[in-house]
Amino acid sequence: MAAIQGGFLANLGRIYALYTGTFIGFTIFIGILELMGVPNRILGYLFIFLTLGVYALIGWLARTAEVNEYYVAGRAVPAFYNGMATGADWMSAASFIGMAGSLYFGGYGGLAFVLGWTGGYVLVSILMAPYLRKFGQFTVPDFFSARYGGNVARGLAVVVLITASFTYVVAQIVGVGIITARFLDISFQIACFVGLLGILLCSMLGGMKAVTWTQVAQYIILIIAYLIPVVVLSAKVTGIPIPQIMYGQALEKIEALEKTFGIAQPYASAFTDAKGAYSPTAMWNFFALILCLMVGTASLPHILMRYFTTPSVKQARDSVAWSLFFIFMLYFTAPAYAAFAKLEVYQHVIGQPIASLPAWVSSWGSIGLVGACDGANAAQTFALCKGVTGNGDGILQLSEFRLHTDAVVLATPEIAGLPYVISGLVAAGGLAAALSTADGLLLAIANALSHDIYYKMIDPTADTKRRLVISRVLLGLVAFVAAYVAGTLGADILVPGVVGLLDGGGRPVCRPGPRHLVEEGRRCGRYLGHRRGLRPLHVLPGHDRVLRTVGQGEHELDGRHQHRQDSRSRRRVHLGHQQHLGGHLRHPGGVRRDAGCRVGEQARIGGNAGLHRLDPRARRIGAQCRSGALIEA
Amino acid sequence: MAESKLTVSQQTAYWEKTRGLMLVILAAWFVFSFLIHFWAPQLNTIRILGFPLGYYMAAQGSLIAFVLMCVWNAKAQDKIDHEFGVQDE
Repeated sequence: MAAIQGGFLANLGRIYALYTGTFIGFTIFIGILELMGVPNRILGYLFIFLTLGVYALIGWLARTAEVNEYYVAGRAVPAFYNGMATGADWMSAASFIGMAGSLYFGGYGGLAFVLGWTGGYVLVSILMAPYLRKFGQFTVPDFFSARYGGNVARGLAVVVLITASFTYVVAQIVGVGIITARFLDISFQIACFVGLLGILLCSMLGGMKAVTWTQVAQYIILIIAYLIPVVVLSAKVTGIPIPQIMYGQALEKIEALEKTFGIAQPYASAFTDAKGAYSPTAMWNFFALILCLMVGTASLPHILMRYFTTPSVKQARDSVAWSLFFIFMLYFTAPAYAAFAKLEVYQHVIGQPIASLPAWVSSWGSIGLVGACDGANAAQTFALCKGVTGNGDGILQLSEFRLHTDAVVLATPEIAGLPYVISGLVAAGGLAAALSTADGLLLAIANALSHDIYYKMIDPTADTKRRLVISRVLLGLVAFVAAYVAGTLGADILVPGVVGLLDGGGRPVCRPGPRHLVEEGRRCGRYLGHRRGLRPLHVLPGHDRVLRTVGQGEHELDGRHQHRQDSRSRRRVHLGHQQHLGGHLRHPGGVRRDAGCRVGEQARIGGNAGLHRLDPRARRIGAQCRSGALIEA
Repeated sequence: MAESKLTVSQQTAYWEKTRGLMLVILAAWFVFSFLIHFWAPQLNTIRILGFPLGYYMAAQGSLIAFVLMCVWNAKAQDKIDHEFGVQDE
């Protein structure tokens, strides 16, 4: 095993280059099969099962019996690869599918998410990662215990970690469940457990080691899947296949078209209200949201624990830079998706006769992601048109058009004129994103339970074998509970009309679209609320109080405190986090000050006729927090 | 990890430099996270490649700045570590 390990680490570049090449070759192969007439359903199966198979293979190859490898991947992950793994760990299905949609609707306001989720990494770089790595233990609660002494701090950290991570992982499993349900044609509940099996295959035998290397593989898939459709679309619309630069042109054209449609609030305008006037409230909300997201990003346990796995503190710092770079690759592309989709809608959909709408409108409309609600019986063709009355003049006005957030990413391959193989690729990418995040979260929870609670608090004399057995059992148990919760809740919230894979034969093919809106919330003292009646709003679930201290000025050597600088250098920073993945973010509405703190979670899956039901779950932490339910219009 | 052989005054000096770097980058972070977007409506009147500048800063400009800040921190802190001889072996 050690020989393989040595060989593996020495050849990382070659191995992953080979992997990438094989994956591209496989995609081309599927494309050829498509040309030969193989049904789309089979192509979809091939994509999903092959990618799952690769992850399981990596999970098997990375099996280990060493505690060091199980918890921190043997501290052997170079900065570059740790960056990729963190990128995949960070970007869930909602970043992959939901973000571009949120930007479509949110315009400038939606960029708060882009800023918040990237800027947080600067904080990780200067305040968190190097110190955690220097400390050198296994988990974040370990750090708390050493910093504050004793098991109280450790226990508190564990509670917070589990609350935040568990809610988040349930949402991811719902997403995985949706995709799997569609591909395998089984019920959602069972699909959650099948998806779960995939997750466990990756993580059970090899722990952090397996998860890390799987996440690298998943990042490669997800970034290729994300970039290809929009690159092709940019080439088609502007002639140059660099969407991140060319969507400026799209923005200009959108602005011109907005004037002809009489839209009062321009897409790229900053801090404007619905009438296009400057609104200071919008500005303060924008900044409040950014702050929340940034400090939250910097305190996510499953991300922070990734920085334990680098060989040195220097590499930990380098790895944060790489992480942000890889995350940046997706995040600076998302607004391009939104802009090109909006341009397509404004140019070829709005103001056009119903009879001559582009094909993607009807193909995605039949699954409930688009609605052209002009005629009297539009709701029969378009599920999204329920409750919408059109004027029946045969032309689609702006007010008669409905679009689901997920449609922005999912429909882009078709808008770009790409074959089905690319749609299958995007599905594989979304699955990679969801699985990688779920892996990281489950591992964080299981490690907290096995290492912090069992080993450190219950039985410090346990030997390696026992510790690993406990770790694996707990991982399976937590995963099972999460899948059960996901299956039960998700089914309640899940409304038919989620995109599915359809066979060829004239019907367009679509892909499953998991959307996880707010996946977890932590305290930031505020939540976004709905002020104006005009737009539905997204919600944040809740907040935990996270007491964080940034330990500075300590030179930790071999886990022992050697020196302590003066107490002024210790900062107690209350950090809150809110991982908000906008699925139906229309416009960040008003902000209501929240006196207490709320804990809640909301995994929201919507899909039919714009119905989005939320499932707030509140948990109590501390006397000062009161549970809250968040409402969405 | 190697044993630290720094005297107390060296440690203080090391920490001063480290903290100084931290604060500088924090200030830059603040500028690109909040300050610059304060003027987004005014910046939006300028256009680059079709992008309104305020929008561009929020969508890409600040992001690029964040990546550069992380790189800068890694390199500068490594330099400080070498200066005091506490770099990782």
